[in-house]
Amino acid sequence: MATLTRPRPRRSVPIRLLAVVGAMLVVVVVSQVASHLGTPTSPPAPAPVVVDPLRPAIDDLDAGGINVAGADAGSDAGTATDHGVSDVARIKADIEFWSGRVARDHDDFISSNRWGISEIELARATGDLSAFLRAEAAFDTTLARDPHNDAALGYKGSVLVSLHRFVDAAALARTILGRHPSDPVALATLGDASLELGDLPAARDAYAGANDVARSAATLGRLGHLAFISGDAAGALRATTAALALADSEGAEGERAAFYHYQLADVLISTGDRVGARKQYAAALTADPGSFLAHSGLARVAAANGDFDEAIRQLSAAIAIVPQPEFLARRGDLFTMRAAAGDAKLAADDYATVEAIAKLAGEAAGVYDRTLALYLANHGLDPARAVALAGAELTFRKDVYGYDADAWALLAAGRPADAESMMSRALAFGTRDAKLLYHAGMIANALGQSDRARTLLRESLALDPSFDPLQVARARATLATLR
Amino acid sequence: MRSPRKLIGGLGLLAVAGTVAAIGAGPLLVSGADHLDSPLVKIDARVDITDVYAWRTSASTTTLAVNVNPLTAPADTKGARFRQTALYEIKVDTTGDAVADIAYRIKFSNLTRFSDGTNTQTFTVKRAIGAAARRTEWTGTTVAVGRTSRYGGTNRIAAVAGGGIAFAGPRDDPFFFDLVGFKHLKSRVLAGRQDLGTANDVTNCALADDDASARLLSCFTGSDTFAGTNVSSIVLKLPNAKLGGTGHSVGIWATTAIQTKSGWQRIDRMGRPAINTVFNITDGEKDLSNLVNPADDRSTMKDTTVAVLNALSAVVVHAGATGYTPAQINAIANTLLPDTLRIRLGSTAGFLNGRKPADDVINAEFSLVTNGALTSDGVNANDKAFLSAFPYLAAPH
Repeated sequence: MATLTRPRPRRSVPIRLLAVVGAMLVVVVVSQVASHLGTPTSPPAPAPVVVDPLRPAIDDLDAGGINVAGADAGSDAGTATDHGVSDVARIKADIEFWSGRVARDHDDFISSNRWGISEIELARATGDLSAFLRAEAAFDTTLARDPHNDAALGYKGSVLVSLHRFVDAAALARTILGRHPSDPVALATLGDASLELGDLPAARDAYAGANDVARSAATLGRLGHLAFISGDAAGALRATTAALALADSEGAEGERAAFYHYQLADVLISTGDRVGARKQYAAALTADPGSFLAHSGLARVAAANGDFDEAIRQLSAAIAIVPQPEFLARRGDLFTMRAAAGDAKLAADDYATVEAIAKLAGEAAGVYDRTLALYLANHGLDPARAVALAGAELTFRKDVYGYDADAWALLAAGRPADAESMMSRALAFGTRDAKLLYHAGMIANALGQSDRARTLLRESLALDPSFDPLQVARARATLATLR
Repeated sequence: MRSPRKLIGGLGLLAVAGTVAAIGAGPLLVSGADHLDSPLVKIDARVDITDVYAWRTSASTTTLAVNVNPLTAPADTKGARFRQTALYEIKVDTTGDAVADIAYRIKFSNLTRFSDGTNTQTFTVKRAIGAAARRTEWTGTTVAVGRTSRYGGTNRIAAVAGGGIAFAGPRDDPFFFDLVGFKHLKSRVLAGRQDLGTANDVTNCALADDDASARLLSCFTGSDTFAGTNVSSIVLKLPNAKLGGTGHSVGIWATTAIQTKSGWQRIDRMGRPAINTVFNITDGEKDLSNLVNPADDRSTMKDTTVAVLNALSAVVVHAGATGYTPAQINAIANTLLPDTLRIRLGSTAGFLNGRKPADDVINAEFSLVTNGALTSDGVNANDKAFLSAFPYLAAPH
């Protein structure tokens, strides 16, 4: 567990920020106490007895045989009601059930593994990273008794990816694969970690292996993400569309179902299809009304359409679920751009919260290094710190966005030549991402390469003018000076 | 879903006063999504078979049950269901060659979800015979159509054409077994340990499984790993005449397959309880035995089965009891393989003749594979009483 750096009280920190931070702390502390290993837990409340009013107790059969055309429909879609609302409640009940069994018998590896998986689900559904730490503790409970428990090792690897411990995750996955070369969980984890570390060939091999042995939405979605990073937008669209269809037949619900809609939406919007993206973000929100990702996606669409009120409303919904620094920074930008009465103060509050979160995270603040570097560079704040943060992360995480963040921070620090050197490495990945093209264009402009800057900025805006409202406005303004 | 917005409103004052004090409690963590974490790769529990049952329910009827969705926690049972792009089959060999002669095929469709999180599905049962029964395909004569029973609701039962009734839905897991204790036993046997020791030896159990002092029985606690958990069950009560005839011995097993572009892909197969758990050592072996058919079992599984039986026999001898001869081990392996649940239709005998939900199959298998030296895992009954009437399996937790 990380120790915490106690921040100095800041007079400029607004009351609202303190309220947000306080609420987050309460959430974290309460959830840590609730599933503490040694805490005896009460059994889940009995389920209500509900009699289905729609059908008689006995379904009579037409003895002559029944035409069952349609009975083999290939979808798990149902007549939906308001499912999804209780997903977090269900996950918390699972956590109580499995952690309670572990409390009674620490040797019960089945329960400790399932407890860990439930914590991962909670972290994904709520954005509460402390659940990942509890997941790690649960898997470590299994591993303390059985260091070779591959299920625990495999899922622990996925937790390490989520905690940005990519090098550890890859090493752990390779340990499992040494014994079981086709373990799909380990292959997926190795792929995830390799992708984040910038080793695309390793990611490709691992994902292909996982897809061979366990073709599923989870493997196709990963291949889709890899295709996008590799610059194959058409392949990304195919794979994420297929992943969504497969997720449906796999019976994915709640956060899991929402994820595949969200992922497809991200590919669509990154290729300029805001209408298609909006539909998928909305579908994600229907599948999981608590999907903060879906809210953030809808905000992105609204902002690109110039509807700042709606964008702010959607981001506020996301922030109410989980106050991610990215959401706060984006909302601050939208307040700045809307410039209605009081918006300047609201923007300042959001910006202050971004930094406070990173500070409060203590040693775990590494999770936010890249986010913070980009935030500082985007807002002309403390360029030396932005360069230090991005550069430190780049020492081990050499992915496309690592080079990009470093380049953007270097430009903010007034080092466009160094920035270009880093940006060329980012562009070498081939990723078709408007943000990268924008950064490259602004770097070219700073170097006086007007033609190149014009081309890159035009390309960026043509590809996806939704990537960041404030930066898109800057791209347009810069382009205007180049005409 | 917790409501941070309400928390923020309600706790605002507390937060202002308490932020500095609370900071010492631990790191503040919200997700820093500079990358998007993909969901876990998981096997689909809906096509993961836990157990197969076949038992006499009257002089002229036999009930067959196959369970999936292992270790479903109560909160998850509400939403538990069958996979609609899957084919569930119960195969029957009536000629003793481990090749299916009759197949009951079940598919699910028309999922309806309710606002309380429960659901129902339509189930359709087809019956195929002869060569068609051997294949994995959605063919045959439709003999039943019904709806699954809703969690917490009334049991819904569909009639089967030609006699019989059918049920599908959530049930208490009827299996009872100290799987945690067994896993240590197996690991310790495979590590070469031979001292039996005694159950509930906490100190010895705490040793690593490959520790030279580790004893085989010390981790058995009498705790039923499956207590309090649920499964999704398919239960068919059928006239013996539809299964080969009263007095006839048949072999029963279940399979699951999922729909892919290139056809049905086998996911799981099971006959007798715990055969895969006990006799296959590596994940690869377990996967292989799921993929092949019973007729292939002796060629794919017999070596590991004999190896495990030899190891257990050595343990028995080490404990001063009488082990099996190689010829006996060969005979036992040939009894256990092919892995089909053999039952003489209409016979009142219990496991190894068929399998009743209440049969303590683990005790029976322990006794069989150790020549009577080990007779119990310490868990001798299910955590819930079985029903006296169809579908016999207890309501879910």
